[in-house]
Amino acid sequence: MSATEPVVDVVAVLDRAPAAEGRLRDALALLRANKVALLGLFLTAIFVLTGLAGAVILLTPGLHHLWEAQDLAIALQPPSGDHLLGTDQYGRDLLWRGIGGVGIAFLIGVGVTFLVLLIGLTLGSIAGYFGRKTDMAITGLIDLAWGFPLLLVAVVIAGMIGKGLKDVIIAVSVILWAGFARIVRAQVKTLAEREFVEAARMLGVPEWRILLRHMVPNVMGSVLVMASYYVAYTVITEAGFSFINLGAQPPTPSLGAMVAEGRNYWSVSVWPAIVPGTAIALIVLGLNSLGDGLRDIFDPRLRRW
Amino acid sequence: MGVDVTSESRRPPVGTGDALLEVTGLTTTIRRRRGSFAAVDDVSFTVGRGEILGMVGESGCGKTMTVLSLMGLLPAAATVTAGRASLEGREILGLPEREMRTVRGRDLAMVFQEPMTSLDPSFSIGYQMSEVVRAHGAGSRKQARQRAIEMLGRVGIPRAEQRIDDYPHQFSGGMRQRVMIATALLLEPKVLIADEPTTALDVTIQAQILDLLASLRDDLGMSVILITHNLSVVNEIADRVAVMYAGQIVELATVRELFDDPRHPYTQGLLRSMPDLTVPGERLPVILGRVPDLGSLPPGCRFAPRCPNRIGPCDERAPALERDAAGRSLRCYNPTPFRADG
Amino acid sequence: MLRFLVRRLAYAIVLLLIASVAIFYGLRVAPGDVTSAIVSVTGTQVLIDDVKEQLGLDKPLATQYFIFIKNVVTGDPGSSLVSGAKITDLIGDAGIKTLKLGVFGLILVYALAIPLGLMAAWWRNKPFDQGVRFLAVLGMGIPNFFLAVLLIQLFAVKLKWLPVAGPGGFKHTLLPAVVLAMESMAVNMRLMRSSTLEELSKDYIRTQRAKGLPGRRILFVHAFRNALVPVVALAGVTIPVVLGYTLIVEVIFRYEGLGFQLVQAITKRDYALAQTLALLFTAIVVFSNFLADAAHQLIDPRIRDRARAA
Repeated sequence: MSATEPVVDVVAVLDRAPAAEGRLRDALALLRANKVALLGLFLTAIFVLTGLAGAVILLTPGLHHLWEAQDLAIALQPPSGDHLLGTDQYGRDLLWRGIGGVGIAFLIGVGVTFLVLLIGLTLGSIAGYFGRKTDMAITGLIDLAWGFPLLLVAVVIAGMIGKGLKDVIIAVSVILWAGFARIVRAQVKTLAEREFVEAARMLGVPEWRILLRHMVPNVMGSVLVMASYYVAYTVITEAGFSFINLGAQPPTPSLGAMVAEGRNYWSVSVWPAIVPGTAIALIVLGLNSLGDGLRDIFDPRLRRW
Repeated sequence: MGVDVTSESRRPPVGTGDALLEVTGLTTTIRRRRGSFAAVDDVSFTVGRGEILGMVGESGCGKTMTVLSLMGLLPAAATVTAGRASLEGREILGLPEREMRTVRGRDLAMVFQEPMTSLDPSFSIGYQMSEVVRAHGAGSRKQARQRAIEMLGRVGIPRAEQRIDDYPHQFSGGMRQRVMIATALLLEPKVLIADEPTTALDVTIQAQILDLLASLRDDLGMSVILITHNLSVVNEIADRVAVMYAGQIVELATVRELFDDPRHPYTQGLLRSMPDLTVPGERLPVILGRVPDLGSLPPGCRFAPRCPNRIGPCDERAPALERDAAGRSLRCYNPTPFRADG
Repeated sequence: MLRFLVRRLAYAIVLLLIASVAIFYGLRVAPGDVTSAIVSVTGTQVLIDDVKEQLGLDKPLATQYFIFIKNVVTGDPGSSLVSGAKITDLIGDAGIKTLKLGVFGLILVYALAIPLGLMAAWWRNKPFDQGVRFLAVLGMGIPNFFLAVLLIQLFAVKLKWLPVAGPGGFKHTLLPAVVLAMESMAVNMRLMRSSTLEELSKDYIRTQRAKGLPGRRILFVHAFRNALVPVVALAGVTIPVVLGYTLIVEVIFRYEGLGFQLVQAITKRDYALAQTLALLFTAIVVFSNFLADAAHQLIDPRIRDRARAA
């Protein structure tokens, strides 16, 4: 007997079939076991709630007094019963201003990430679906955007259209769509080569419907993971940009601008700088941890960037 | 423990046949979140000088765990909890890591299943081979390189002096496995452990690698433990075979004895599922049921739930591994003569 | 390899040309007439004419663009509209400062990230690893400007060990470099840790152990070398990110490098300076991407061969 004859694989004959288990239940169990992800989820939940509250007081003129009301008599006070986190140099309440600042961060972070997601999804699927020259052109754009420092783009855009929150929104959109587009493109490309798409084509089912149906669950995990990182990234960029006075202009309560103003009064009261600074740190920490946890669950291979 | 003589081997071993490696009562426990279990349970065998011992069983039966225990390379969750293993009279279980390191690579060498991933992709094979010689203080840089070239030639790599500076990805799977074997043999180990060395390779390459192992055994006089789930591989080159099931050895015999007269119902089942014993066109018979979870074993014989020969005591007490006068070992209350058609 | 480099270089030049068009036209369509921006800054009619001539504002935009490119390429991009200083002098001065800061920052990034990540993986779940992971979370969570504020208050205001801000020698560069490095250090440290863990779990590590190699050799030679590959691949992102943060960090520390000058130029609408600096930054980004790609090719023998075959 020689080994060139068909060799029976005892393993293949005897191995037991893997037990099918619910994916969602696995995901929940993993999330429960992952304390960092739980902390991230908790912080992010607070961010969302505070952000919604902040958005309401920012967008409701009748509530503007909460974060705009000045009273120099009570300037730079430490936390007290009336002002739970103290007051700034104009005597404005730091808690309400902080909530307003989180509102800005929330609106910009979530809004821009959503916008970026739409652009990335559209361009990524177009590139993956049509292939050839369209793909090459879009991939070229992706590479172009991918390597650029967001802040540099933001600064140049500020030079083009003047200071303000618009700069951050445009800059983030110009750069971050590429991250989503890359994932979606790769996913669509793989799917488009599969037999069932071929079969659907022959049966006359619109291909895009098949792609959408199969792509959405496949891409969902990666998109969620990246979305949490990107909201964090957007929040930190907006804050940094406002900090160097190119972003939100006064009296808009941007967290970055608040830190920048607050640091000048550090010797009198640390609260005007500490409150917004800590708020940003907690938001970013929460979103990053949530992203890490989601990544462990959905896509262990996906790394940050 | 007495002397195992492999009288019926087609290629008589080079050595004298006395036990070079003697393993007694080896038990390796894996800790899990819910309790621990013995992945290797009371395993005893000997390997004679110049002998090729085949170890056969399904995945998860403990073959690999057994040899990893001997090498001191168990994963973090596993520990040897009982047993002895002496290599030329020297106890090697429980050696401190520093001493174990001098045993590994020099006395005991190992070749793994996956030649595609078992070499470091970032270093030339010359570097990875010389490194063994250097780490064991067995020669200068130049000598190590010379030795590596020699060994590569010996395992059948053409133009060894040029290819030594190539990187792993520049070799085919079969060639990589040759490199792995050459690396393992650099310091002429006493025992070469080959863990499924041909499973990942094409069928024609498998035969070449097996031939290579046999001829190296003949030339160098080393002993080989060959782990495989493939009985035809064992039939090809082994002198004796240990059949493992659920962490235990259930039958140990010479290759001839085992193939001519398998006694354990599990061994019989394995033989029946070999294609050459089946009438063409008929379905391959399979062993019904599944391997028990080592965490929740049956109280009696581990094979009992799947065994066609089950009798009363099988479900109550676990049978022991018993040796007959001829030196065959068997763990079964009710062995019956083998019929190929089941 | 050479062919790859040439192709990659050609790509970099195309990128740069596209970016130059975007920067040039972008700054030209800015709200408000360029001349009025200058008038508001300088207020003298004589200078306006001077500037107009210098910028060639009477000519069509396309011609102006080509003049801009020609001037940049020939090394004479003109003078700052605000200070009147020659832009080349400014770039030379600020460039050296930013180079010092950037190199110092990058050294901090890699000198800390690589060994800390490696050892954290080796001592997985031990106190050292937990410390490293905490540092990583902190480094990625605290925005760098807030970190700068905290460090200035601690080391400059309270302890008075280091100057608050300003240009100068090592002491002036230390805090900005730390702030600049922090986030990228955390990201790379995490990456180094996870990639070392991944390498340590691979089959070839078991082979090395079976060969009888000592643990330190397996970690420092084999795992290290392979774990480095993704870190080097990420350099193409790390370098631009660090460079981008000079914009914020130099402003905070009033460290008068390229980033500081660019933000100033944008704030003061000094377009001649801004467009040149923005183009310079872009060039550095594109070039460092190119270098990182080349390094990635060199470190991984598999990619090296694929590139040779292409």
